[in-house]
Amino acid sequence: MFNFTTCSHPNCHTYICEEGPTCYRHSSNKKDLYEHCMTSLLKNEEVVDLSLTGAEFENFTIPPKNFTSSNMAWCTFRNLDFSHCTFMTSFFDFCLFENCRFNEITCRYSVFAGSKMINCDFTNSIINHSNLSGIDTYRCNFNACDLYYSNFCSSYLRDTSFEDCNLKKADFFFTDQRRVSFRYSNYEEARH
Amino acid sequence: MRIYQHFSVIGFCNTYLIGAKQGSDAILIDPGHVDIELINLIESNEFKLKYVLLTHRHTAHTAGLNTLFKIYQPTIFASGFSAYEYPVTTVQDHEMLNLCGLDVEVIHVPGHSLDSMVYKIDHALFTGDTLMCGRIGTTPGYREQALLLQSIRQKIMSLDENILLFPGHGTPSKIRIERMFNHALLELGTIETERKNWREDE
Repeated sequence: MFNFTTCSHPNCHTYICEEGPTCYRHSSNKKDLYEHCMTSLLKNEEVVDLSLTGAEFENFTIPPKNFTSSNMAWCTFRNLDFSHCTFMTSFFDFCLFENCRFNEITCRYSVFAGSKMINCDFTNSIINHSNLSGIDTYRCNFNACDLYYSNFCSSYLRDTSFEDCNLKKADFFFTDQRRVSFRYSNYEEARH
Repeated sequence: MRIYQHFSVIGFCNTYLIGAKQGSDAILIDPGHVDIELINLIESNEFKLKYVLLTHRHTAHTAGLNTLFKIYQPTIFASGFSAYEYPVTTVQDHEMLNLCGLDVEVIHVPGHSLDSMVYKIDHALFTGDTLMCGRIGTTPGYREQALLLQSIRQKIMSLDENILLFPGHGTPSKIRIERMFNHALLELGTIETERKNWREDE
């Protein structure tokens, strides 16, 4: 699991990066930390215990890899391709995902809660036991996904498609749905 | 610290395996169902299973103990409010344990059941059936629900909001996420987030 030490900056409760006493936002060597993170993301090796919060990433494709026990909360991702990646017990809460591709990902015990997703594509993914509560989606696509035991409670879903999905034990309690399609999905087996 | 999550469709319970590092002594929380997958998880990490923590006595969280006793000889920690058919070391509210080199804080959160215990290990909180993603535990009546809400407010919501939640059922979460999106906790009021401030900084 990533380091649970909190940032030494006053009033900041964010977990620190791998090295140093501060989080990424309050680090004096942001550039080095960012480059180290980019190297980890672009290599073909598994990303384990990575902690980098509040960074911005744009315009690249992440090779198929595993993200395990990592924390990238409060980050911004624009035009990124996470297709074929695997996420295990990783935290991407309160992030902004814009024009990102998550095709055929495998995601278990991971957290995307509170994130804003604009024009993101999750087609053909396995997203089990994952926390997407409070997400704000616009023009997103979850078609042909296995969403077993995933939680979308209190989320704001607009122009989002959940067609041909497995929604068994999924949770759509108190969601605000506008132009959302559940065609060919077992919505009746979800909590809503 | 390493945290591994195991899910079984028997009882739909999450079981957590925690060890300081590969090959070290390990703790198991809520063995609801012990199957070959869980045993492989223990063995492939070369963990020596020494302790089992029970959040409460419900079958979905304890049924795997009989299988576990045939393979390992763990010491069981559970609340003294329930009786068990095997030897149990009882724990109580505010007790601090040092197991496998990890500090475990015991927090009593009654409501779902009288014996509901929450275990805090570093910044990870194992909540059992008291607080889950998007919901609180079921209760037999409205008095117990009020007790559960009061216990959550006093003992869980007062903790650091970045603490990770690992519930007995469902998905992992954080205290901040539950405070913001869990409708059962809305009466606790809104929470200040850091997000607005750091966006303005940038």
